[in-house]
Amino acid sequence: MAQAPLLELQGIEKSFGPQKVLKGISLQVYPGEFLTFLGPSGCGKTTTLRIIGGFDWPDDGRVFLKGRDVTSEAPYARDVHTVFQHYALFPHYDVFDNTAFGLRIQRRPEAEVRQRVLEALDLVKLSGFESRRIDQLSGGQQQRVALARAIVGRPSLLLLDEPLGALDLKLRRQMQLELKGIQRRLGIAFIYVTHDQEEALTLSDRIAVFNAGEIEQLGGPREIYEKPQSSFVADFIGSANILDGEVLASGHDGTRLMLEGEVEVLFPQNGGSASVPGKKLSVAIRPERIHIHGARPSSPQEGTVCFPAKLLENVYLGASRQFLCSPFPKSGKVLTAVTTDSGAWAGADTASDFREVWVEFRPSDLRILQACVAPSRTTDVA
Amino acid sequence: MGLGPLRRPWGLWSWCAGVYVFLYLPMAVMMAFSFNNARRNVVWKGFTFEWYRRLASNHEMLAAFLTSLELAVSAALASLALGVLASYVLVRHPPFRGRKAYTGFINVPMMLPEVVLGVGLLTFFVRANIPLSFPTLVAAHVIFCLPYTTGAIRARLLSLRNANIEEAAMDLGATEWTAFRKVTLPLLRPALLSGGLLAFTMSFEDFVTSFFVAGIGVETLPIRIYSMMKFGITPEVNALATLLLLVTTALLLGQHFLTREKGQR
Repeated sequence: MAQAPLLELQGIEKSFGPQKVLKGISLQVYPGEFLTFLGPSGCGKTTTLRIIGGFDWPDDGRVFLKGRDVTSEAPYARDVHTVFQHYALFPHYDVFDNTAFGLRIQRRPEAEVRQRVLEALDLVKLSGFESRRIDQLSGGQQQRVALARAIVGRPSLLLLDEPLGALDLKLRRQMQLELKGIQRRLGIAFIYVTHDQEEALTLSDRIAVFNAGEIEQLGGPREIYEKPQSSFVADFIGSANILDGEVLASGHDGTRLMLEGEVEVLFPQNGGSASVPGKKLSVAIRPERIHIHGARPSSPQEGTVCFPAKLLENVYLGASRQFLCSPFPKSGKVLTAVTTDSGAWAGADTASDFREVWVEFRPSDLRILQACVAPSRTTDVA
Repeated sequence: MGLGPLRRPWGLWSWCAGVYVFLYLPMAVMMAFSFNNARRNVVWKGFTFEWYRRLASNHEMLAAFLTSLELAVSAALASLALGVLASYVLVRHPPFRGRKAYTGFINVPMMLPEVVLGVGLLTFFVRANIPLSFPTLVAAHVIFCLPYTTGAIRARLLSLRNANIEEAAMDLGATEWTAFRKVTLPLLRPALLSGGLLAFTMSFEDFVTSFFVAGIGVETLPIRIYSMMKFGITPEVNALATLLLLVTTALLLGQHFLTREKGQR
């Protein structure tokens, strides 16, 4: 992206009392993009959002908006609007007056206010609700008013703090699509805070994964999902099996790895600096990349490894089926595998626990997690 | 009513009725006797507006009434302004040392015997060489009105605290002052109304504190009535009390409908 960034954070740090909640956040947001801050609660994503909005000031670091340093500027001096988690609508105004608030503060002519408010309400599908009181609206409708109020002034950047968190699942799915549509139509850059990884994958152009006050990884949804760089990201985005590995040898055909001290595989990439023999590392593999067979496959597919395991659990989930099995008797590490129900072997339905099954996967589906160098698995969540 | 076979609790009803009779019968008698065509409040001699007519031409009484009105309005407005400021410090300001003590001290005048407050203030004003006058009276009344206005406003602010409404206003371009004026103040209105009315009533009917700090030449209505009593009670006082009762009831009803109409909590 050769474009100039719309927003740039440089080394933002923030402490509340003795607790350091942001440990140097740096990132750039480009015009028109949909960026999501994803992370568990307490990871600093909302604080970062509040610093961008001007409601909190960083202890250290700078905030640039369109190249201008706005670090210590008040919220009303920034061309940024916010959709608050609990909407923060004005209960003494009706829907129209709520939406018109920002324009009236700017003393726009009433005819223009009227036209733009009606447009915004039309965009969020609330036409005809102009004179409703806020307490006469459902949660989903209040959400739409909050959105209309924030976009009517056409900010260049919109901040959304878990805007769909209070809605039920079905409504949330619907609103996700509408939000994305509105964002595309208006061309406003969105920064969207959520702890729902599915929501993040659905909506975002890029995702910043937050953990304990730091950005663990920043990238497109596919990159984050397929190539997690740390065990935290691998675990938080979807689910992942994280195994201890040890480099046995490294050559032009790839890296020989010992998994859990029991299974040897050839990872078909040169692990680079990580591949010094004897080096311990963590590797991840997605549950949907692991296949479970009821008996030893007579002709294993090319490029896969296959080894026996003990079936621990066999769960029918409707469209899919989940297996928990233990292929590593020494470490006792449990592997999770997910397959479509029709993709499971015939007879899986009645397979009882503790019977022997066969695990098969492609070593190329393994991901070496760079952040983890400890000898044993550490998902370093504070 | 859907209460099914429950029998009507006659015992409870008659007990309630008894309590209400005890509370309101004296007032009813007083109102009735304000129309009594006799100098003494003992026997009914016939209906008259005489006492209301005399009240209207009693200039001292009227002056005292106006003084009390002015005093109560000033005290209520001043204690509202201070109450808003105090509540902001107590609710919006990040926690500071002594916040609990501060909250407690604001409420002290509510529990303090009024005689103590009166004597204390009188001693203070005399020692500080401040002449007793209308301003000292207002200051004294603000002291015992403050707990009521602060209490109401603080509770309202607390209920708005987690709503980010002011932040939302500032986010949309409003300065701190505009946000306060357009968003916070309208939302505080029910609290301002109830706290203000309470302060007004407390100040209007106050006798003890006023008696100490009014000084010479400033006479509030309660002080005027008290001095009238020394020369024997006339039905004029009944007429006055009846009028005050009507005004108070009207205010209470007014507040009720004003706060209800908006549908705000």
